[in-house]
This record gives sequence, C-alpha cells and structure tokens, in this order.
Amino acid sequence: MNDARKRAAGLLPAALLAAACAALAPPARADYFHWIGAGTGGNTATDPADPTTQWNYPANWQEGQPPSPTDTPLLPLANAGYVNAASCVVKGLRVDGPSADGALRIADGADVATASGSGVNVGLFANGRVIQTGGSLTVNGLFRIGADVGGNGSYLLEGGALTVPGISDYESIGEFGTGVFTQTGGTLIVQSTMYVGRMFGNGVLNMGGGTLRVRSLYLGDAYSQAALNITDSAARIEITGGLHFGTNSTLSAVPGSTIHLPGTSLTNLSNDEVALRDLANLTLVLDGAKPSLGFTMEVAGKDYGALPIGFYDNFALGSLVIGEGTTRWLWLEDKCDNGNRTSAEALYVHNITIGPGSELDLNALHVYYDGAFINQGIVTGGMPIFVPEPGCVALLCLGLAAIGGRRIVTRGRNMANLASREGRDALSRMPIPRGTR
Amino acid sequence: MTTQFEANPSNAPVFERIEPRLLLTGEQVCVDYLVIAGNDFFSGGQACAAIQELADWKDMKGFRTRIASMSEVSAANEGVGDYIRHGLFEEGGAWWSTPPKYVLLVGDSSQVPAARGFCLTHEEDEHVSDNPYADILLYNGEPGSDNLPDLAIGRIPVTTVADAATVINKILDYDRTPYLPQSEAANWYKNALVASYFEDGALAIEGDPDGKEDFYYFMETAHRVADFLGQDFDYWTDARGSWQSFALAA
Repeated sequence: MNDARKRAAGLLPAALLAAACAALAPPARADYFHWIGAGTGGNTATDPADPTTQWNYPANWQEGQPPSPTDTPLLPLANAGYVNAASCVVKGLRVDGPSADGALRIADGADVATASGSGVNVGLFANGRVIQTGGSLTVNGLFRIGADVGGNGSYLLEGGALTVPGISDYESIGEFGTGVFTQTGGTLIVQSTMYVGRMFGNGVLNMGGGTLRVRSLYLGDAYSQAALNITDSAARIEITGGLHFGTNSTLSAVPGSTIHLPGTSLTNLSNDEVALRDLANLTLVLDGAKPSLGFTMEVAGKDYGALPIGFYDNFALGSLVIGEGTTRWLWLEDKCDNGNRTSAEALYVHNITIGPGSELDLNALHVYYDGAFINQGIVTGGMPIFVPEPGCVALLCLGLAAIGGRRIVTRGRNMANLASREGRDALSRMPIPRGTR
Repeated sequence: MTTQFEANPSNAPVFERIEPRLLLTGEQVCVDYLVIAGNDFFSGGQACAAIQELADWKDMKGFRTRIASMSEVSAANEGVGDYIRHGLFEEGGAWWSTPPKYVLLVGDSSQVPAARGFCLTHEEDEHVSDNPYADILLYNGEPGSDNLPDLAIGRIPVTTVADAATVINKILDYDRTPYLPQSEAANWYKNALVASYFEDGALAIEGDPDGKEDFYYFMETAHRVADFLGQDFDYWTDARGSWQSFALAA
C-alpha cells in the first residue's frame, strides 16, 4: 500500500496527529509579516493617499499591525498596486510575489533600515520590484536583487540614498536569478562588494545618472552573465577597490562616460572583445584621496603593433588619466590570456594623461595611443608608442609612393625602360606628380 | 550546498504547481530552507553552532529557515519524506502551506535515514537514494510516483559535530566570498569532476568480478552529468584487478 492509500485509510487519526504535531512544532526562525494591502487580492491602488497602499496602515498586514524591528516583512505582490513605505526599522525585507507590476515605493520622507545580520531580497523565488524616488534605504546585511532560482528582481533608484554599509555584506544583482538595477539619480553606496551576476545569475546594472560608489565591482564570472550599461555620461561611478570584468561581461557606454578608480585594480578575464568594445568610449580616471596608491591593470588586446587596427574590437580604451588631483602609480600586467596571446597582450588607448608626480609603469608591455599623450609624470618599463591616424598613414604612403614614382619615371625616361615591372606597378598605384611627364 | 537546481535554473522545480493549503491549525507556516539533522548534532535541544550558523546565513539571504532534529521528525511519527512533504495533503497539512524549496540533511544514513528509490529507466532495481524525499508532488493522484525531484535536496554526510563544522565552514566560505579568479589559471569554475565506476560484481553473480560491467547506472549517470555540463571531457581509467574506476572530467 502506498503512502497516499495509507493516508486515505487513516484520514482522521492522521489529521488529529498532524494537529497535535503542529502544536508541538517550533515556529520558523524568522517572524515574517505578510502584506495584504495594495498589490494583493486584486487591489491595484498606487496612490499614496490610499490607505491600502500605506505601510503603517495596520489592516494592510495579515498580522494586524506593521512589522517591528524584529520582523521581516514579506510583500507578495500579485498585481500593479504599490506599497508606499514609511520610515521604519525592520529585521529584513522581502519583495517577492507573482507579479512584477506592483512595487515597493520609497519616496521622500521615508527612511527605511534593516537590522544588522539580515537582508533585503527583491525577487527571491518570484518577482520583486522597488522604486525609490527619495528617502533612504539602509541595508544592514545582504542586498540581493533576483536572488535565487526563479527570482526576478528590479530596483529603480531615481533619487534618495541607498546604502549597504557593512564591510562584510554585499549587494548582488542577479544571483541565481535575474536582477536589474537602474540608477537615474540619487546615491548608491556599497561599502563592500557589488556583484552584477553572481552564482549562475544574470545581472544588469544601468547607470543613467546619480552617483554609485562601491568598493569592488564584479561583473559576471564564468557562469554568471553581467551587463554594465552607462546610458548617460553624467552618471558618476567610483570604485574604491577593484573593477573586475568577468568572462561573461558586457559593457555599453555612451561616449564621454567616465569611471573613477580611486582603488587598486582593474582585472579583465573576458575573451570577448566585441562585448567590451565600448571600453573605447570610457575614460578611466585614477584619482582619489590616497596619494601614490598603486593600481594594477590588465592589458588584454592583441598586439598588432603600431597599426590603427589595434584600436578596433581589441579591448581598446578611450582615455586613461593617471593621477587627477593626486599622484597615482599604474602598473600594467598581463596575468590573463584574453585570447590574444600570439605575443604578450597589449594596451591600445586613444589618450593618455599622466599627472604631475604620477607614474605609468608599462612592465615591458606595449602601449599604443593615437591621440594625446600628456606626460607630466614618469614613465617606466617602456614608452607608449604613437600610432598615426589612418589618414596620416595614407598621406605618408602617398608621399613615399610619389617620391618613389618620380624616381621610377625619371629612371624610366632616362633608361627608356618604362616597361619594367617595377615601373608599371608603381605607375599604376599612384598619380604621377604634375610636371614630371 | 550547491544543488542541482542552483547549477541550472532551468531545472528548478515548478512550485507554481503547488497550491498553498489551509492548515488544520489555521496557522500558515512557510519554510523555504529546511535542515533535518541527526540527534547527534543537537545538544540541549539546540543545534550545534555550525548548523545554527548555516541557518542564520540562509535566514540572512531571505530564506525562511527551519532546523528540525530527527527527534522532531520521530515525534511526528513520520519518516523524513513525510516530514518534508508535510502540508501537501489535506489530511496531513499542518505545518507549512507550501513545501520547502531546499532541504539539507545533516548526518550519515545511520543518523538521518536515506530512502530507497528507483532508477527512472530501470524501475525494477531499488537503490539507496535521497531522491524520493524530493519527489513530493502529486502525480496521477499519488505522491512521489514520477521519480523526479520537486525540490533541491542535499546531504552533508558527516557523523560528528566537528566534521559538520568543517564542511559547513567550507560551504559558508564559498557562499560568502566566492573565489573569483584573477587570472585564467585559477578559473576553476570551468572544471568539474564526475566520478563513477562500472558496477562489476554488484550482485553475487558467479565469476564476478570479471572485469565486465553488470550494470551501468553509475556510468550512465556520470555521462549524463558530463553531457549536461556541456564541456568536453577527458576520460581516465584506473584498472585495479577486475574493478575499474573511472573519472569523467568536464
């Protein structure tokens, strides 16, 4: 007899037994408070004046009162309704429901904080969405968007402050699940690490404004997908530790985009030059308040020599500024095979600026530039090599050919040997300067 | 615990198929991450520090976490499987309205009994497995009859508190600070090892072991795992007498 049949035979005793066991069962470890206001049960209200959208309205909670600092509110939003946050301290926070249309909204006047050792999860097993236009959210714990298998989370930061202050905590965008963080204003400060794509997840970080300050930014790894999209050059990105381009990372950046690197390193494990071609639109600025702080940077491009082709889909950078308002030391390295190791990989960068007292150590690697090279500091381990613009190269070739042609024609006339192959080829390739015929 | 579903989200259980059930007590209890540990890992009714720390970490990650001892399981007069699926059936739905999404068993099979299951393609052959514990959805009106897991289940097969602490600390280290390589030489994410062996002499067949496999379930499973990983793999053999051990490395 299988389990189901056994159960059917003993329905009542089993029910009584189960009830008794339920009474014995200890409670789950966390006290979750369940939102039953707007966004649930067909209520699609979004107006902050509507009491069913208000955080502090007791009837909006299954438990009959708003959560206390020892409770973790769970917002299982199932439709387009909004939850309008009020200032509060809670243990943790979970926005996780069937619908991605509803949202938790944090606006001016709402200061939300979670207790230490907890976390905020936006889209854990299902959908979660947060819109912050003002106020503040302080996450004293893990901050995860799209946090588990099946999780689909999004966070829009339009204004206000979002802070993850713990040095042992982290923020992840797409950890096992899919996460999108879009910033158009406000300030996001992560004192520890931000992972865009973590543990097989898929993360997207859209920067369209505001300020992002993070210690370390990891963009994907071998099994996680990550995209950094800088859609407005006014967005300020500061990375006080390391910037890491993982194997499966993509970058799109509008021209003029800048990443400030007061930190220590830039690593790049990517073999996909096309996915990171917008590095050419980026200016990397090594600045910060720690003078003479060393910075290591991976070079990833194929060494084409001093040819313009080296700047196309070859991990080429837009501009590199070493020491802006301070002195910095940049050490290049080639620790990773980015798929371009016919010889040591090289760095192609359009413009280089070395500030007063700052240093660029090429570490015997090749650096090519085709724009400005402003050197007010020190260069060691080699010297950047200028790559003329394609137009300059063409003009140079033209000039050389013209000189060669004049000599060939002259020689041909003198030797009555215009039929020579050398002369024919040269004549067919170039216009003969006027006056030589 | 990195589970099979974490490795491939597309294999995630379809929990939408489960409808929350009203509880006999009127109490809604949901557990996302359930730990069932042998009694040896409890003292004074409290789980050992390592298990507690793991639960705290999962709690921090937003999972509604619960630790249960085998005593609690026994007090319910149920087996491990019934305990896990508790709440799915109206007559027994008492503790959680939806079943856990993750289950961790802590202890060897003598401390947390293993189930006996059947290979999907060879239903006549029963073997020891935790898979039936994860097979909790109704199928043709009966529980657990499709042999496919509906939740992610894993086991830390340790026998002592010290060993549990060692393993759990490794898991926590990995989860808290995943090793992200700085160079391709350390890109260990791309390497996996799947080990199996030909089941030569698995049954008392005269003349066995004879160097020929009698069954091929383990090898077949290993091949399927390697195929799933989608990587080229190397194949080693270590012939020792008639027993041969093999490893598939993706």
